[in-house]
Formats: sequence, C-alpha cells, structure tokens
Amino acid sequence: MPEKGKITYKQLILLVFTSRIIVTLTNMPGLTDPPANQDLWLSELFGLPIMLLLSVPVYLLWMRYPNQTIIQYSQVIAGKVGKLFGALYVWFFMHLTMITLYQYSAFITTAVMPETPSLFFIITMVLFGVYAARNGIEVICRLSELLTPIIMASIIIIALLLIKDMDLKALTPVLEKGVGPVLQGGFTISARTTEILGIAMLLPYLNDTQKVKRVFLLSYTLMLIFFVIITIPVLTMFGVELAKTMAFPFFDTVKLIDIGDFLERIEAVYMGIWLLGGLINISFSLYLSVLGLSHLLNLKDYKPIVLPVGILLIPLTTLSFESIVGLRKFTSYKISTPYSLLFILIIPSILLVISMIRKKGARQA
Amino acid sequence: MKKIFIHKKKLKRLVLRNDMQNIDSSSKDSQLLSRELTVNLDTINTIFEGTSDIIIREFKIGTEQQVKAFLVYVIGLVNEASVNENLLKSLLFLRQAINEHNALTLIKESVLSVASIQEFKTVEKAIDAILSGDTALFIDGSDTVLICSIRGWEARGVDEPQTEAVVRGPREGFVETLSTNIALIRRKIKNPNLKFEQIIIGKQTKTNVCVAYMKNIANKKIVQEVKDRLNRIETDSILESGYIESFIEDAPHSLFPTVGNTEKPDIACAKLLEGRVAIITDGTPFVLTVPYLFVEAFQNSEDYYSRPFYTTFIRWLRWLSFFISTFLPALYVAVTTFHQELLPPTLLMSIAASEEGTPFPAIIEAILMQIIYEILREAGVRLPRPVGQAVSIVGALVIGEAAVSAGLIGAPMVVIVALTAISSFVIPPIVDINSISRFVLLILGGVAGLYGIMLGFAFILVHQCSLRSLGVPYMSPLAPGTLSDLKDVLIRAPWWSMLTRPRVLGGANSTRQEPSQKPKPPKEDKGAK
Repeated sequence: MPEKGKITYKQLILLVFTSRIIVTLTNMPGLTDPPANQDLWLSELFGLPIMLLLSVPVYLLWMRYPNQTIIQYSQVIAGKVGKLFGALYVWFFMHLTMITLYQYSAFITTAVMPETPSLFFIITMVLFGVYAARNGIEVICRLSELLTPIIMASIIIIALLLIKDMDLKALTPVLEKGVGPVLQGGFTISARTTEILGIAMLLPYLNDTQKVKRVFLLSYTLMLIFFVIITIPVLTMFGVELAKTMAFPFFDTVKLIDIGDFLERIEAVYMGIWLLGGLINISFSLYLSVLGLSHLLNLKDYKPIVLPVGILLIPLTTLSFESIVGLRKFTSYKISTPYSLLFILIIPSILLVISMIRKKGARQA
Repeated sequence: MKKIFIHKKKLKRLVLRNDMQNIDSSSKDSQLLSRELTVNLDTINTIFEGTSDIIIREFKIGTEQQVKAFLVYVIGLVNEASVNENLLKSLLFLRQAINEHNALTLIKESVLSVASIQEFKTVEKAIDAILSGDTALFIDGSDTVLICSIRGWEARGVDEPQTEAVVRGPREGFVETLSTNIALIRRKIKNPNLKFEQIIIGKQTKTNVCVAYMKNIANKKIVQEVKDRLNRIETDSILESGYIESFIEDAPHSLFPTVGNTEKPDIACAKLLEGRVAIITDGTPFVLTVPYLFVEAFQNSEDYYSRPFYTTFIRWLRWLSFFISTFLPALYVAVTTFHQELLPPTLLMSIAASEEGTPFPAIIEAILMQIIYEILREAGVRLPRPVGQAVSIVGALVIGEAAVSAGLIGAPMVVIVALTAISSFVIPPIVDINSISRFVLLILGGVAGLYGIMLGFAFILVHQCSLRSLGVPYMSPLAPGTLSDLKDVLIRAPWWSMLTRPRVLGGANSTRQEPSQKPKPPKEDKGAK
C-alpha cells in the first residue's frame, strides 16, 4: 500500500466537513439550484437522507472490499474496464483540484488582492498542497483536526454577529413552489457532495471499522447544519434574487457586520479561516488524486508523483477555465449534477452489480 | 548513482569503525591485572606518565608478614581527609596476621571502613574508576583491584535556577554533579519503581549519562527507544546535554525542538510521573525530558501549584502572546501595505500620519527594527550585569525614542516591536522558534499580504503536524486529539479532577488517582448554623 497511515473516524469527519464547507463559504453554489428561492435552507435539510442514499453503493462496496480504495477494487471487480473507471476517478479528483484551485484563486484576486496575478495564488496553493500531500494523510487529517474547530467556531460567531441584521421575513413564504423543487434542490446539493468519494478513498485507512456508519451520518449532518447556518444570513440579509447575482455571497454578507461602530471588518477573520480551510481542501483533493494515481499504476509509494502531478495541475488549471463565469456555468446544477452523479452513484452501482453477480469479495457480517 | 553513494558512505563508516576498534584493542582493552604488584605498578605508572594530578602511594600492611600495596587516586576528585582516615590509617595500623593469600578478603571484609567497594580485574576498568574519582587499592599477590568510592570535589551548591523562575514552588535547581541531581529527584519520588540507568557516552570524556523513568508508568517502548538512541551515540565528547539532544532528536532539520529540558527537579519529577523519560547528564544542570510535545511550552511548573482559575487564564494568555509575538509584525506590515481597508478610519489616519515622514517602506522598517531588537536582546543576555543596564538605556532611549523623533521610523512600529518582544518573553521555551518564524512570516506578509501570512502559517502547521517525538505526534493532544488530555492543555483542571495521566504517551498505567476526591464540607456541618 502506498499509504501506511491510519486515521481516526473523527479526523475523517472533520476533514470531509472542512473541505465541503469551504466551497460553500466561497461561492455558495446551491443558490442557483432549484428551487432557487428562499426555500434553499429547506432543501439543504432535505439533503441529509438523499446524501445517505447516494452513499449506499459506496458503503456496500466498502463492505465487500474493506481494505481497498475505490480505484483498487474497481480493478479487482471489472478488470480492464475497472482500470478505465480508476482512470476516470483519478481524472475526477484532479479535475476537482483544478476547480477548487481556480475558484479560490479567483476569489482571492477579486476580493482581496486584485493587483496580483491569479497564477501566483495557484502556484503557491499547489506548492502547499504538494507539501501537505507528501506528508501523508495522517498529517492532512491532523491539520484539519487542528483547524476545523476554529473554522466552526468562527462561522457560528459570524452568524451570531449577523443576527440583529437578519430579516427572517425574507424566508417566507415557505414552500412557495411546493415540495417537489425543494426535494430536487436537496438532490442537487447532495450530488455536489463529491466528498462521498473522498470518504470512499479513505475508508481503508480508518483505524476503527466499526465507526464507518458514523462517519457518513455525522459528517453529512455537520455539513448540512453549517450549510443552513451559512445560508440563512445570506438569504435574510440580501434576499435570494440579489444573492444569486453575487460571486461570493457569504463574503459580502460578512462585510456587512457592524456592531456599535467598533466591531467591523470581520472579513479579515473570515479571510483567515477561509484560506486555512481552502488550503486543507486543496491538499485533500490533491492527495486523493495522487493516491488514486498510485493505486492505478500499482506504485509502491505515492510520494515521488506528488510534485509532478502538482506541477501538471498548474497549467491545466489556468488553461481549462476561461473565466469565473465559465466555471460557474460548469458548476451550475445542469452540468455538475449529472457529472458528479456519474462518479458518486452510477459507476459504484455498476461495480456493485458486477461484483454481486460475480460474487467476488468477502462480505463482512 | 544514489545507491553507489550510499554504499560508499557505508563502506567508509565500516572502515572507520574498524580503525577505531583497532586503536582500542591495541592499547589496553581488557588487559588483565597481574598478581605481581610491581607489574601492576609499572602498568599504572606508564599509563599515567606525565599526568601530574595522579597520586600513587606505596606502603606495607601488617606487622609480621608484611604485604606490599599501593593506592592510586586523582587529586581534587577524592575526599583526601577521608582517604587518610578510612583507608590509609586503618591499613597502616592493622594489627592482624596477614599474608598474601588472605589479604584481599581480609582487608575488604574487616579493615576498610568504606561503604562502596567494587572489585575489578582489568586495567581499563580500574583506570576508568580512578579517573571518575574513586580510589584504587592494589594489593600484592592478588589480581583484583579494590575500588573504594570516596569521591569529593569542589561543586556548586544547590541553588535557585537562573532560568524558570517561580513565585510559588520549590526553588532548588539541578547542579553540575550527576549524583546530586539524581538525589534531588530521588528525594521527591521515594519509590523503587523510579529507575536510574547509567550509560557512559563519549570516547574522550567518558561522560556519565543517566536515564531516569518510572518503571510502572512509562511506556516501555519509549524507554527502550531512548536507551537505544543513547547507545548508538559514538562521539568524542559530551560537555552538555545539548550534545545528546542533537544526537537523539527526531527531527534534526526542524525548527521545533522535540526534546525538552529543565533545570528544576520538581519539573523533572512531574514529567517522570506523567510517564516521560528524563536524561540526566553529568556536568550540566539541564536535564532532558522526552517525549517533548509542543503544548509543553505553554505549561509552567507554577501552573500546578496555583489555583486553577487564574492559571487557566494565564494559559490562554500564553497562547495569545505566542500568536502576538509570531504574527503581529507580519500582520501590521501586511495590513498597512496591502489591506488598509481593514483598519478603522481613525486608526488608519493616525498610523498614516506617523508613518508619513519615514524614509523606509513598512516591511524594511519592520525587519530593521526586529534585527535591532534581537541584537539588543543578545547584548543584554551576554553582558555582565552592571553593563547590562547601559544596553536597556541605549535601546529604549536612543533607538526607540530618538529614532522616532528624528523621523527615521514610525512610532507604531516601535510599539509593535516592543509588544512583540514582551509577548515572546511570556513563553521562554520557544523564544527561538518565535523569532525565526516571525522573520519568515514578516517577509511573507510583506510580499503577499494576509494571503502570504496564512500560507506561511499553514506551512508551519503542516510541518508541526508531521513531527513526532519518540513516536508521539508532536501536536498531540491537539492533533491527533485526545479529549481527556486537553484538561491540562486548554485549561488547567484542578488536581482532584486530573484522574488520568497523559494518554498520548501510551504508558502502561494511565490512572493517576481515584475519582470523587473533590473536597466537600463534612456532613455533620450541613445546616448546623
């Protein structure tokens, strides 16, 4: 195995949580999804059962192959086709890294340092990702364990500071378009949770296999609670229509904090925690890419390929997206939902069916 | 190419080692003592030729059948009054029948009034003992030397340590003598499970190094690892425990120390009782403790002697000052250079006003001031105390006051540097890490603003998370988190609630005391008045 580290279920939960929540903190992709109105927070709550359902194939596959990652068992189950699947997953993780890198660099250049070229941020973030990934999953997990409590506390404090400016009437009428679109919204939000695959990649490295169900349940619950904590201030302060036009809705909300004319400019704190979380996110997805690649190529050690993959990602990131608008088009629900569903649901289901038919794998009670 | 290189290195080391062994064996390795006294005398004389601090005293024992003997010791390392009284006098005034055959047993069993006597048969061991301060007694007709331990030399008395000052708590500190240091620890822990294992390190200095641990508490693997690492050291000299530290630390290239040190027996005892291992080196008052975790820098012996509330507050203050002293100059430079919008308008105005006439950009100003501060600090540490006051006057008046009024630097920068310096004194164990990482962050903040600072911070965090001290993750119990250990990290829980020893150390016995010892008023008093 290229990775010898072991992680605890708490670390995995925190890592998955941070890497998802930071994306929402940045650009809140769910705003334009159906129902695309003030019921967004309801869709987020409805997401929990849907996310759990989406994780079922991955979970069942893990039961059959508890010591292998998705890239390894896809090769065991489907042979050469499995290898193709594995390659697709590696691409998927790399693509994820690229999207994250581009989004984050775009955020920094537009919001904080407009005069610095975004390439500078991409390169430095990749360098950090390479450094963290080379240190192994244990270190990335420890980093998230160290920072996630701080991130959580800061989000809660920011939300509390915003309470006096919230206009809860903006959340009415509840269920304006009925339950259908809300459920659909829950579905698209769940489909965005590519961290399901992150969990699937890391389950073999969990030191306590009894806690797998808890990982799924707790990480999703935490995620969705914080989704709501982030969404409600945005919806109640700007209204959904205005928020949709914003590139970075939560950042703009944080800027509005002003308590008694002395507690203002909280966005510096926000920037700090956002950056730390974002760096965790990038090192996590870069780590998944190289770990997947090393499994695909049956390498003994993944460390030598971290730097090459990282360097490869720099031109790929700058070339593959023309602008933040193009990226938003891609991450909108019309494209991103089927794209990530293919990886989260369809390929694992195919693998599961093949594996059931061929009766491969030791089923654990 | 790499492989060949390694191979060559290994070969070189092998050759070197062989050479060393040859030198050793050719000299006097395991050379046995002779039954002839004259032969032994010759051997000793040749070995100590040209060594003026060696005393060799020949004499005869007994009245009728006289047995020849001689004493060897080093001036200044033995208590000469005691040698005269307990060795020479009792031997010279011996009135018992003695011959070459029974001399050794007779003298050892019924003549010498010395508690610690050892018998050696090789020249090398006898020489080592003599040089360590023992007195060797050679007797004609026996191939065994009697080593009497009557050591006594000039040493500094137990004193209040210069570092690690406390308001409340024991004031004694370790000294330069190993036996005194061991006794200082033993006096606090009267328990046979407290073990002291001696190792001799240093080809030239033959320094006594002592590994101390609680056998029933410490993790056996860690103890074994410490001993293995110490035994692996092959060096000329150990003059201070810092030599050992650099040989046994886990991350030699890291800025962060993975071996702790203390000058106070109460701290050493507390660490032993938590399951850590102490390494006591002869010749230095600084005792090493391993495993050393990052959070230990924020703990102080006095924390445990004072009441918990204020202590908890002080601990948070230490974390705060750690962040201030590491980040403040960098943040100041980043904000004034890149993110002026983050400052409230009034503050921005006053900073801009005072920085207006200064010739340098903020980053240069900050680096210059930091360097000047470091110079002042170093000067203050090294100078003799009477001159030291001059440094503070020059520093405060000339560099601080005059530089601002001359318009060379802005007043806010002086405030920032002063605040940084004061904050870094709150956490003495990591002052060195502090000042280096401060410079790094300062440059990052000057180049890339807040982004640079956070990036540098994240790099440092990843590095810290990747460190281990003897297998224990350096950032534990923060990451990987151990909830029960946080009672002594984020807060300082009262003693009756500290039920477990630090779990991260993985000791065999993690229960410190019985639960429910929280003090309560006696029952009969309830409602009495």
